[in-house]
Amino acid sequence: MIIYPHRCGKLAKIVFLTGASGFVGSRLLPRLLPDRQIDEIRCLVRQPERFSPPINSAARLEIVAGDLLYPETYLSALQGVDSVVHLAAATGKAPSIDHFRINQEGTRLLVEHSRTAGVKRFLFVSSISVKYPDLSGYPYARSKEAAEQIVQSSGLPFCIVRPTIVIGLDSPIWTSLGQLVQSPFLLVFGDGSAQIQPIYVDDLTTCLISILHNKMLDGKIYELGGPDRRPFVAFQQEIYAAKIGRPPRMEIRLPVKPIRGMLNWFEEHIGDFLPVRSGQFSSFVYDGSIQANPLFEKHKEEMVGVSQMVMETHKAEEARKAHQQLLVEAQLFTRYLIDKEPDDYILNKYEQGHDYVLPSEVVNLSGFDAFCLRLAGLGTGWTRLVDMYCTFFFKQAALRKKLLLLLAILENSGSTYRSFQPSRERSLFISMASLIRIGLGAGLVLFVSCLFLMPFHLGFSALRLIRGGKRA
Amino acid sequence: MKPTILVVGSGASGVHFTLSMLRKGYRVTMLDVGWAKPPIVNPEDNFDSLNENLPDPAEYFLGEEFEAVILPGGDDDYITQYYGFPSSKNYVFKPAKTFDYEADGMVPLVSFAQGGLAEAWTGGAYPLNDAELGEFPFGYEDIRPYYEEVTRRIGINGAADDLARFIPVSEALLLPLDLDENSEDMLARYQIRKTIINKKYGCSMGRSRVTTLSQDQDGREGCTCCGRCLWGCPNGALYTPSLTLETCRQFANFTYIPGMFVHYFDVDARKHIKNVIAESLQDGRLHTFTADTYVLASGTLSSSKIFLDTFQRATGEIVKLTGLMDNRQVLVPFVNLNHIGKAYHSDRYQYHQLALGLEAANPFEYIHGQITTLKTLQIHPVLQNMPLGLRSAIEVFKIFRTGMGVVNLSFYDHRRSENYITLSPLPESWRTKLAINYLPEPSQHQMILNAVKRLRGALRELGSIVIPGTVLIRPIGASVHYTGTLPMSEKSGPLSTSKYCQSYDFENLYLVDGSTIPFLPAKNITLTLMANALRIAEEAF
Repeated sequence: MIIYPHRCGKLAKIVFLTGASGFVGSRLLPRLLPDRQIDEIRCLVRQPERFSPPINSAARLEIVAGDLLYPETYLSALQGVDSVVHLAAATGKAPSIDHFRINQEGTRLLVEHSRTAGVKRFLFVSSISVKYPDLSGYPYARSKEAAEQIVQSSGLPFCIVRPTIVIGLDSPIWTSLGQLVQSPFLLVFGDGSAQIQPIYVDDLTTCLISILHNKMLDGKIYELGGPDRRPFVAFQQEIYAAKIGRPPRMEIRLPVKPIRGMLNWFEEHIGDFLPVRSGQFSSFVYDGSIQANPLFEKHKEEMVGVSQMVMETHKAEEARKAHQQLLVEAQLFTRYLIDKEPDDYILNKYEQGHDYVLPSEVVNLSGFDAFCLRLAGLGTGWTRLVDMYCTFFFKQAALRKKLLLLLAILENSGSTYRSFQPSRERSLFISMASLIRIGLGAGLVLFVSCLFLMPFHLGFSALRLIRGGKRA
Repeated sequence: MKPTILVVGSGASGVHFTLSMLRKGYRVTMLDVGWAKPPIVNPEDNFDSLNENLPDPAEYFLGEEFEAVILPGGDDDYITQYYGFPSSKNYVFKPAKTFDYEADGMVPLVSFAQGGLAEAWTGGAYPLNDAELGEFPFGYEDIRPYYEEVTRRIGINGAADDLARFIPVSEALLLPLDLDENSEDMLARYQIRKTIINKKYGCSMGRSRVTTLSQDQDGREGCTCCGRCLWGCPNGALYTPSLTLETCRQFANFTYIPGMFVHYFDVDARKHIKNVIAESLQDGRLHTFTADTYVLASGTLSSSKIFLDTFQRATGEIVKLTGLMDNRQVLVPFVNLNHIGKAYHSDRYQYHQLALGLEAANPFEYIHGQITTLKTLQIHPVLQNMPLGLRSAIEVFKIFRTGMGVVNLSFYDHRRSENYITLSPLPESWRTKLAINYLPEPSQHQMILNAVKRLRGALRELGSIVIPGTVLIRPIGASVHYTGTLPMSEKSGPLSTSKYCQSYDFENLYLVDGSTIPFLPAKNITLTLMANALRIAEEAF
């Protein structure tokens, strides 16, 4: 049994959260909302119009439109707060001045006004990079180090958490490392031997909630990582295998020192306009594993291992890609069919119907079918061209099935069913004139589509025959 | 004391037989699988307001699993249907796991719902004439009182018009429903050009006979033209047998036992049925029910299977019941050119309001057609069959919409030995599987081509054209008029029934459904099944 040395006050009732729209915050908030130990959550949000809070919560959610650097925007919201959870930070390639303004000065102001407002606990999420041996050229780490000192000297009951590399859907490091996967190569900075201990974002939020529940605001710093340690390169290899489906054929090692030196020179002499900062390369060089602590020990058994977090994140990324692709095609196809923008109901039904009606047919499309779908996705004109061709020469195309599914939904949706009814009475003359116009247009589209698509159709068919012959 | 009666099945014939027997004071028990109809959704809404008021209209119209979405099939069967059954009627075709079959040459539909297959019908109700009753052991005058009685019971609307040449007119007919504009236009043109149409194409046209109340009757409300026929009439104006089942359930001398699947009868050495063995669908246990007289009314396929299982147990022999019949149906989509571009109204009666008859050299070979103009059908199956990209197809469809329609042509069938049903034993089980074999008559194809040609001509005279490449010959089984496996005949013989549909094989067994029909005319047979069931109830008991 772990005994926490210092517990203060009663259970957290009102939580003031910064960074709710960020990577960790957006995963923490939906877990805090249904928490019965919390009565109210106040989220400090810079751009409330771009913030979509999760629904279904037991707790009351208040959006505080404000900015860390302008305390007058959030002062009143700090009144009566039990716990501040401070996640907001400038990260990655932000200009160094922003790191210091937001991470250091922003934290200083928040701490100061929390104290004035009588906040009982202050939970600060820092970074493992603070303990790297050399922080020069890494303003993010330096600003976090300064912020930690501000929190430590605040006089408030506090807790500082230093997560290692945090992995999950939308994790900045996951996105960056994904860019180093350039099949068939894997780009590696340095020798890749630096030890890392990635943590899954849900495990991090579990630990944060645990701190709040157990009131572990005992003035300590907890380093938090996942259960597995790896050399950096091994972690990259796992990401490569998840994304590509096999190990990398070749690793291209890029020297870190010259790159950092060059970036440093640029930052000092020309300005920090480049998309990367030299400090960001520190993770490739320095040990990023943690020192054991009671919080980690308590949760490590339930934590997700490296392989699983890589697979889960990859799966979630793929699912979201597929979801987004479906939404984009539903929008395009609705415009093509009835000249309207689909509402959320139609988009949801299309995605749902896709799962029921077209589950196997649309996975792993190949050859001409995939070509048609891709071409049709370029715009409504292309959709029309390909649809017309498929009507005559490729009736079972995935494109036709998708269009028909959407059509079935559109004709049965409150906002669009009237699109299939004549809007007004027309005379026989006008009707015939319209029919001639449509007929001529359709004839022209058919002619062009045949000229353009027939060679591809024949080509793909020939290729299939040749491949089939070879296999036989 | 009157003998006790046990009826199997709650379809059209079963419920009307039962109602007559109840009124005569018999004690009747009905065993039925009896899938119940789900409650009507938003009964006050019409088609348009339903679309707007339902929180999830696509789920209602297409089904929870999008089962009413029709996508292109394989190359061979690309055009298979112009509409899918709406999910609101899924219960009608919900299978019973206790009923197993294999079919060659036909695609059978079986229903275990309360009210049976007619719960999903379009209400066409036409009495047969003497020519069509030629092979029956009775004539039109014999069955006429029962046609009248059924007409009064369920409410049939229609008119004494040109079709009276082929279809006897009941005195109890209700006034016809108001015609939709497209049907009205076609009928008016027919009146002007009927001499040519009659003479040149042997075609007559008139109002179809439909089991929909055009006025309030017996506590039922008349049709409100809400446009929801296909998804289930919300106020019961369109008759379905479950309404009569409800009436039966008001009688104290009636016992309705749903959830029971009847397997076979126990028969003694004198071929007298002792009791019926039924399986509870809830717990799979077998139950025994006893009565004096047993009546099969579960539809030709189910009744024949029960008969075959009983016969096998009584004699040890698996026999073939020959003479299975079904109407061939052909769908002929058309466009009334005089009506294109006209205003669209969804608040019209949706099903067929006009019918046509194509004369034949032999009167019993008459070809019957029902004309359904397009109102609120699901349109994506139609659009995918148009020779245009879908965008253009929608534009053309909107222009054509109010002029579109489909003629459902129906052809007679007669009993042939190559069409039969029998049993196929299941290994290591006491259960059996029904094996169905059907071979269409080779000459039928030519007959269809001739009929479609005549129809094209007649429609042309009416200012309508048949849309090229869209004529669809539906598979055998689609019309769901399965009949003829245990035909009624005055000549006593095995595997047949008497004039009163009493089995010649088991003396206390009656069959009141389609299995006893000796000839299947082109007209929908359901009205005759109901009238025949009444005839048996009145004359045999």
